[in-house]
Amino acid sequence: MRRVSRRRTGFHLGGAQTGFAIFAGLVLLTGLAILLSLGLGAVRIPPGRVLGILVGASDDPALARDALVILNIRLPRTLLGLLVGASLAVSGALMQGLFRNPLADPTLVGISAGSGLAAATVIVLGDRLRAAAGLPGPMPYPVLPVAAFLGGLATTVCLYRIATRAGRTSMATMLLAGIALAALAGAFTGLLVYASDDRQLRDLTFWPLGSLPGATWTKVAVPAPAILPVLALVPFLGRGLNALVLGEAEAFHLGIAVERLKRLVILLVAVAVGTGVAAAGVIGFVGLVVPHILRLGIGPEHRRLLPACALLGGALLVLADVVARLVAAPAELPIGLVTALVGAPVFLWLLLGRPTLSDG
Amino acid sequence: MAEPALLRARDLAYAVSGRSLVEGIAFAAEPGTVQIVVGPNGAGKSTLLRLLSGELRPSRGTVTYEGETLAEIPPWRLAAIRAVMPQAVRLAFPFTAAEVARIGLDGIGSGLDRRARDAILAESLGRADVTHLADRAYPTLSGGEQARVQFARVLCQLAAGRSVAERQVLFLDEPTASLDLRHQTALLDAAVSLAGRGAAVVAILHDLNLAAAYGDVLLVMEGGRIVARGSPEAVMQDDLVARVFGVPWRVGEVPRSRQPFLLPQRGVAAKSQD
Repeated sequence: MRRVSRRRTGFHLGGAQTGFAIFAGLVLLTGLAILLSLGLGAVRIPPGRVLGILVGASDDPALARDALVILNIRLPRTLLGLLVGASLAVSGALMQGLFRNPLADPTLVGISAGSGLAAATVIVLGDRLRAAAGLPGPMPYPVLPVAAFLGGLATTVCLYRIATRAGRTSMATMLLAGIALAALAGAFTGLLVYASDDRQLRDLTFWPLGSLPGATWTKVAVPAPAILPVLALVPFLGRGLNALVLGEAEAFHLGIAVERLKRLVILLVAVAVGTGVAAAGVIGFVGLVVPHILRLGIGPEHRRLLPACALLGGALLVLADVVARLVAAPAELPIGLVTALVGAPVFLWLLLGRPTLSDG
Repeated sequence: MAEPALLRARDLAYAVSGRSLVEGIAFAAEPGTVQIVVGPNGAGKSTLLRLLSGELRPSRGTVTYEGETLAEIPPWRLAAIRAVMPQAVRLAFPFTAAEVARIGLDGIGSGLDRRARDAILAESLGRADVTHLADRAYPTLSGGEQARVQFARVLCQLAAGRSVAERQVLFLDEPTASLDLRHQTALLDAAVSLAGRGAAVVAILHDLNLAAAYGDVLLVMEGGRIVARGSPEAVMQDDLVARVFGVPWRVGEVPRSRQPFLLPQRGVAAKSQD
């Protein structure tokens, strides 16, 4: 048994060169995903022309249509995919480090559900509330994402309050409270389903499945200022999370201001998940599967893991989006459906193949 | 003794929801000494260690390092002054043994160059006898091997901290619990040699024989208080062992070295002792 597990966990030990090679591979993969995403769809554009348009050789009138497709439709969509994928994978890794549990995930502790409930509230009750308040016209676009973000943040603050006693946050309580809050938010969302008409019902059905289509530069501009600072802060969290993995007391002994670190991580996750859900709906399994795969490849050391998660998460979500728009063309599958269809079996496979490492 | 003690506690008490766990503790530690805390389960040994290391805030009393109140020292500076080897640490992620040990160098050793850090890591792994396990995944190691890796991490932390603070305190919470005999003595020898280099060592041990062999001073705790302290020969007496630990065994004495020892003895009635 021990020999088996040693072999399985041993191959991330190749040292700095292997780590570097894997990083280079991830950058290449991300580049490839971007090219595919820009080139494939209802209109096929060869990679050479994609690059030409990107570097600004689009004055050629023959390329005008392709340039329009790339610059106005596919580029914002691809960038949104990269941002949301990166933030999902990084949030997953952050939560797992924080809870010292490889199965923790923002979806699991109810942050996504809270965002979803807020979004559902806006979808179902928004127009009625506006009518009651005497406001003219339909709901302006930013209301939905802002509500989803606030819903995620409110859930996180609730969780944190429930789990904190006398200045100390119990991670076990937080995990359990999160499961309860997720169930509660799900129940309320269910109630809203009863109160909704046909069009709203359709929106409600597709929201939790996630989607990137309809991405415009505006839709990229809303989450980017929230997600990019989170990604920029990530490299500074690695050391603290490494120590935290040993235990909260041990991290304190090693000089980490534990409570401050925990609060910061929770806030960052709330921001990243809330904005991600707001921009693209609930997309599952990226936060769970990406860190897991990378731990097998480059090991669990957070200073390497977190940036790698940002790369692989972004690349995989963009690829999932390519699949989503190709398999049922001209219709599109919700991207959350693709990540779940691929992610869940991959995750089960990983669990089956895993040595008994993490029962501690 | 004009300069303040390296570590001092006065009238220390800790209570949780009205229940007192530790009370009336006076304690001081100076460089070069090995003090060993012994006592039955629930005597408050671990609580005392957590109070002294800053993990818990006392309900009453103060702890000072070099005269400075513990609560006012920020964690990053404290990490250079004292290290703690905890009881069993389990990891949910497959960090390698070397990665776990290296965590002790992060931050605290940020003023050192890469070569110095690698040297500290190599030396610490060697002293804890885990060099051959360096690339193994920590969760796949046995309990004793994991404990030695934690010891290597603590050694890394102390060595890195030495570039900042010369006088350091090492806390060990039942460090030998899962170790075989050779590694028990190797670990305690390493602790003694750290004391020789100017550290104050405070360890909790359950094995009275190890305590007697390695302690300059034994502190006996019972019901949250220190009920006896002194050299092993002074403390390990038949009546104290019977009263505190509830076993009616006679304390023996190693010939020549006069080190006291205690063997389990069957069929000795408590009364027949006196």
